[in-house]
Amino acid sequence: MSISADSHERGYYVPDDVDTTSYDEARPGEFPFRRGIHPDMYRKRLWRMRQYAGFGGPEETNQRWKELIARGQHGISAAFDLPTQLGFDSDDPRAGDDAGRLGVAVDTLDDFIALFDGIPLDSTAATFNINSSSAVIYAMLLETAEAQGVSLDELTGTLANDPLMEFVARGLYRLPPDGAMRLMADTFAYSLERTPAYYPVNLRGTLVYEAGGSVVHEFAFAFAAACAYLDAVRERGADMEVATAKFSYLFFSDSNLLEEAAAFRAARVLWAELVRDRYGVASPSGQRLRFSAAIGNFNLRAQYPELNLVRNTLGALGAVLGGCQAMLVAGMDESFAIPSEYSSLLGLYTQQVIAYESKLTEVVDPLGGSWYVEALTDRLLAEMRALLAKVEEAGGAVAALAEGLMQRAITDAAYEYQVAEESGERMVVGVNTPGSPPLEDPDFDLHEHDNTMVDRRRTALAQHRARRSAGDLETALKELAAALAASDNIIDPIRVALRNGATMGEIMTACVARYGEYDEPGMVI
Amino acid sequence: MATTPKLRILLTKVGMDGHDRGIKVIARTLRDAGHEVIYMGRRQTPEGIARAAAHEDADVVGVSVLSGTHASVARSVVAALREAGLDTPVVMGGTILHREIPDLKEAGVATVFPVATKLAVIEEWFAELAEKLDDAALS
Repeated sequence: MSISADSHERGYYVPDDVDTTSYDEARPGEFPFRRGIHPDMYRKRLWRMRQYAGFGGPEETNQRWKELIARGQHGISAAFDLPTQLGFDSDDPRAGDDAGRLGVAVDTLDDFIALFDGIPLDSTAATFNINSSSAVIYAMLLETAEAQGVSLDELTGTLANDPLMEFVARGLYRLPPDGAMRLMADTFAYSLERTPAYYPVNLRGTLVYEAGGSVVHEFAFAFAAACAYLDAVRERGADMEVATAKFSYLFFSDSNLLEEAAAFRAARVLWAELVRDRYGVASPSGQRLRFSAAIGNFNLRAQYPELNLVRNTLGALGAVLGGCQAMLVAGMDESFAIPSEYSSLLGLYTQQVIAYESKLTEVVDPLGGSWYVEALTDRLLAEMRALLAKVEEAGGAVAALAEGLMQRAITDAAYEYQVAEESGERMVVGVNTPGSPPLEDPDFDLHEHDNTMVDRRRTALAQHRARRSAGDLETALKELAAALAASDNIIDPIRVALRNGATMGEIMTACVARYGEYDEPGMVI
Repeated sequence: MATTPKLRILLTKVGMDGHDRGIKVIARTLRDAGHEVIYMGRRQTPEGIARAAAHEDADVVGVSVLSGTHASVARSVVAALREAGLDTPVVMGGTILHREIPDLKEAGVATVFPVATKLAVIEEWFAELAEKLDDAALS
């Protein structure tokens, strides 16, 4: 049911504006989970606080993670540098001076083991924000868990592993879509069998929103990608009851908190119906929409950076009112650089203030029954459903991205967003409000990139390469190439290659040899 | 009646940074202002940019960098253009601080649009460049 023109005109909502049957009987923890995926929500367990963090080499990042854990963070959300996310070694000429700049550089299994030095993988859930080379990171994780003596049966955590969204929105693709789908599906299939407690896909709706898409684009495109992955793993014989229970999501939460909360409520309904109707999933664990909320990105501003703390608070409130399972909050300084330790801690403390001081955690879905929020939930649900159907009509996510449908929608929305800001139609405090100051550099300390990083990584890699047995490495890489050619699952061959000293770059080079590299076409605007 | 002079603008991203929200908004703004705009896409190399600038007869090259690598990108793109015998001006935008601008200009960048530069400012700069190139062509 759509919001009537009357209610907009009136400026407030009355019972007649909403179909009460959609929520009267709705209970948290019950299908279709409009009011939350668990009956008790935060009364029983808070959302997991995991700040997105990583920079420099494994040692620097390990220290930052330990600092965040010491301040009450529940787990880890790993930020990898661009070469790692694309599957290049730090000393690859194409990596330029990106090594260790926007996240941590991981070239070898030894790097990964050092990253988790003193951080036990059986009690610390880590999220790996990586899509195009996620198969290699997953294999490193398995090797590290075993090195720590952690049983793979008990290994928990989350892998982003959503390469399609890199083509749609963020651009950190490497293999073309067919190869990217293969790596994703191999990783997923292996995890179902060998790491049953692990979550091997965390779809990145957030990338759509951050690239300029609307909240409706964000959810519809993420679910379209989810269908593409589910279809792919179903084709390999995965049990859909088990597979859907391993899906989770990362969605953005902006300052417009009631719309965000309503969107999360709507998305839960859409997902529950989708997996039931399209995949025949009957178990609640498959029908529950598990999501982390990302707070703060393009909506943070360079002017008066401290105001970003306020924006982040609004976004975090929307996520909590919307029933998120985990959260990461950006630094107030992220218009300028990756967050300093101080600003990262402020993001954690923002979450803690809401968790421990606001009393919002004492009641489940406090917005339930609000005529406005329920009407908004229904409207967003209808719009998400319609857009998802449009992508499906275009042949699904893979076909739609080849055709540019999703990319165009996002680019158009980004342009309109900016124009509305420049024209003053949408007000942003300190940017286009009266007396907005001229731009200045911030007067507090920003994260400083260590310019010796690339040289240090080069030296470490040269030493690593000198230590390996060339024969064993060659054999392992040949076996990986054979698995790639034969459509065998590549995770075991990757693990063997890692044990024999293969680097991230060498393993991804083998994948590129099989599938080639994606080259985005340029365009006359 | 003289028409407002227009430019052939080559926009690009260098290195691994994939964030192209900003440069696509700028591409559309400059197109709407009447310029011819070609967006090369992500992960371009300095040599590829120089080739494209020659091939497209670009009046100006705009480079977007949001990964913090702008200093090395500025040097390599300017060097590649000059090596190809082109004096095409290079402009940069992205996650850049005001205090970093002098270094980039020292590296040969014509102008820099740091964090949060308004579209109107960018549009105006290109309009002035168009006037300047037009005057030079007439004289």
